[in-house]
Amino acid sequence: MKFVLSRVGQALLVLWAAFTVTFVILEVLPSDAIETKYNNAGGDSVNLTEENLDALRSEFGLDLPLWQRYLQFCGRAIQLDLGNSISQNRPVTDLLVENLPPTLQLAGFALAVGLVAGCAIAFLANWLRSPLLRRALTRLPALGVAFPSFWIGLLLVQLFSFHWQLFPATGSRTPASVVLPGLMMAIGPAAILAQLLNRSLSETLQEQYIVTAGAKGLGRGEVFWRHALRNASLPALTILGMMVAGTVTGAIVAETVFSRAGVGRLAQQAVEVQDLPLVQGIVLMAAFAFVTVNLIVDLIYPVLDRRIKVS
Amino acid sequence: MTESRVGAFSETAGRPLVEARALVVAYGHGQRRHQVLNGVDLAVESGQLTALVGESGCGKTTLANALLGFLPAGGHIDGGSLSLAGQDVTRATPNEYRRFRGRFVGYVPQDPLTGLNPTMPLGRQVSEAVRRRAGARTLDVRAETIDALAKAGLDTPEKRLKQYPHELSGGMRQRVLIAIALAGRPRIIVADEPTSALDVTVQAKILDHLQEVARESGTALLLITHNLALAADRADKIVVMKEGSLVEVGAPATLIAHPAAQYTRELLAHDPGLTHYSGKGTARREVPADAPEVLRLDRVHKSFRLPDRSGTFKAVDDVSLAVREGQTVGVVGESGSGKSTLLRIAMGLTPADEGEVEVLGHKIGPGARSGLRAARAGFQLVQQDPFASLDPRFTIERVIAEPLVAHRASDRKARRQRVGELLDAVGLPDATRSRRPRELSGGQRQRVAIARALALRPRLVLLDEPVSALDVSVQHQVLELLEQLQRDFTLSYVLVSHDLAAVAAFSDTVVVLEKGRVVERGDARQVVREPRTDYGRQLAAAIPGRRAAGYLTDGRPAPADWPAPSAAPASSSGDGRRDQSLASVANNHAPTLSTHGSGTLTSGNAAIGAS
Repeated sequence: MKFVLSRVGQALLVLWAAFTVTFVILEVLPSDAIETKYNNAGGDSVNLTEENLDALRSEFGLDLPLWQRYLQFCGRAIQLDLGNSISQNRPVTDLLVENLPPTLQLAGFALAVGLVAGCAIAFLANWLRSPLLRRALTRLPALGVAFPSFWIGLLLVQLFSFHWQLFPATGSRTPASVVLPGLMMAIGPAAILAQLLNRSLSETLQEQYIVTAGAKGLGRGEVFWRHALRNASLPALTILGMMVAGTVTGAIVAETVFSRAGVGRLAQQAVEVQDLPLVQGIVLMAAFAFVTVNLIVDLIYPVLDRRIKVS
Repeated sequence: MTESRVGAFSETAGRPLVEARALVVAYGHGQRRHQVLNGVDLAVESGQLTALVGESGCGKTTLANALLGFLPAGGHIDGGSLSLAGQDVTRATPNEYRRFRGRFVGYVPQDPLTGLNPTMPLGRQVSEAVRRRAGARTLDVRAETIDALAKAGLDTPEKRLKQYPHELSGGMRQRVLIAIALAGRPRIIVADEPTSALDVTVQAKILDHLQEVARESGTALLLITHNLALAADRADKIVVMKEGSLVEVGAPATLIAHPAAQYTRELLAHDPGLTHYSGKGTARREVPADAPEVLRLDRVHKSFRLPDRSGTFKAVDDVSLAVREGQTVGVVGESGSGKSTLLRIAMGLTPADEGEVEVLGHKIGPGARSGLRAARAGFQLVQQDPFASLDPRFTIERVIAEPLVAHRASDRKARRQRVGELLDAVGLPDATRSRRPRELSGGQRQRVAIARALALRPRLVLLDEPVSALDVSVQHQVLELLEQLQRDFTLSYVLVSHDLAAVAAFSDTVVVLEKGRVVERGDARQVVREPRTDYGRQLAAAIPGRRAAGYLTDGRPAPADWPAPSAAPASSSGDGRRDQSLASVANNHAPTLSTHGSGTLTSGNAAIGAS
């Protein structure tokens, strides 16, 4: 119980740190969201005076001293009120809730595909008897890491939607629209997972206890499932948190390339116009996802490996 | 017992359980082909203990792996035949082999610390093997699992079911592995150096127990070991191997008393246990009583805080020690005895909590930093593992010259010359200087480590298990070299080791540590022959070779000055019976075979009378 509490405490600390660091970074950047919005957005359509801008700044609370704004921001964030988006003039929370479902579908699909593909490659690279196939599967993940994901995305569009017309190239309305961007996002995590799991599985299979298990007369499958996979998956489990964090950046690229609605697209737009509250909200949400997954991994670890003391 | 034998392997049609004929095992093919077994014959009879003895690389583990069907990738049987239970398995597929594992041949691996799955409860690891037993469907698996654990000598076996390997000591883990091997009720158990990773007193207990359960259930044992004395103490038949070939096969009594092969004779002559029990060995020269002290530890204490902060642990408890010029002091103890901490304190690496440390007349420790600096060049360390203690990227010249560079002792030309002198002193050719550590054997590497230690002309050398990573015959050579160097350069040694026999043979005085305290001290021979404490007796009794040495005198009982039999760790009641039968074998065979044996074996400075 003490272990759980301390891990939850650490998670909250990471959240707070992410929140503060984004606040500071965006504060340091030499730009003004109000000016960007009203003076540069529409060219010469509206030209506001300095007084008008100041009035607008005070409306968004941007004229207060730094520490006051920080405290205000903290206080509201705790009540899940992340303020108003400057560029879209709507509550950040609403924007997030609106854009979350398509991104969740995409990220969920990508993670599932990445997990299955990564595990399958690692497993087959150790299970198959043909040295040629084993070597091919072992080298395959390096390709996945080497090629930039947007390039792979464009290739997928070229083949599957333009050439064979199997899946839509853009949009986010139909379930099928998730396939191509999802595949593109899955390749990176799958490659990293495959590499790590493959290595740890082949190391585990060299362990003395694998020989002990075989000497009992267990079949190859039994030795793999009962003795090798669990031990080999432990190091791979730790990168699960990284994989989830990776889907945020992955979503930015995928949603842009495939012009999908979603949090990634929202983030890209918010950064472009220096929309501080919105960027802050997105970062906070990403940090929350990352921290939650890592917390779950931390809590599962001692259950899988009893050598890690729960105290 | 009898109904458990009902199964596929109840009958072997009068043939041995395991039979290898002219077995050839090789790795790779064509140009890359590398043969590791050159036509080996082996027969293991039902219910017998057969020992496979040899040094590293002799092929003993390959032979064991071959008969378990566990040859590593690229290894294959390339000639001859292998049969298990009378069935030819020379060309068996992995699946066909599987039928034999567990049920016909059980396996006890070398290292208990890595032999068990760390993430599976012990009960399941044993019950997996129980379920593979013939007719397992009708068994009460839980009861059988508990029974196997109890048979292997674990107390409160039902509590062990839910425990994980890391909760048990090394010795207890080895017992779990024995339980796994027993659980399938095999006809034969292959044990590959089953106790080499354990403390000496635990080793003897585990082997006694394994031997006893095997005898009770009529299971044959194939014991793989590098220790000929240990094999001779326990086996019905000894198979000596070298470089992939059989050297000699025979009953211990004949093989020890009348070894036919030169190699067997060498192994016998260099065995510290046999040397100890037969009362032979070099006499140590006297160190003059007025020789100056080079190291003095006075009432040294050191405690460490326990990791869970529940208290402190006394690693070194009131230890005093003095080493005089030209003297060798042995420090003996098992893991956790504090011998490593003591060594670190003597080197000034760990400060003592209490007590005084004086090296070469300089006080070292807190508040005496200058003393350590002044003494530093005068004492050196030789570490246990020559495979880890030499930087693999350095040439040997750079390795040896490093202390000279560090202490700015000489210019480049003088260093080159000094390296040449040192290589010569440790018996390595001058050309070795341009080699790298991986091109050298273990013994050669340890010579390099010794040369490095001598580079600054130290007066005191601390030896931390200097030969335990080496083969028996190489151990002997390295120890001889150390003695030679001691005479040539008037060196003083502190020899830290777990091996009482080796330490006693090499040292002038011995200190025995148990849980941080000195329990025995005195003249090396005195301590090993007439230990005064229980712990000292246990350690002495754990030296293998007692029975084997008896064969040297044609099976006559042990002389009175040997450790009393009662001092042996709770050994089996069957031992006496075995003693007798083997003694009679010795008597029956000795006359007919005496023509093979030479009268006296001499090698180096250790001589063993053979009759």
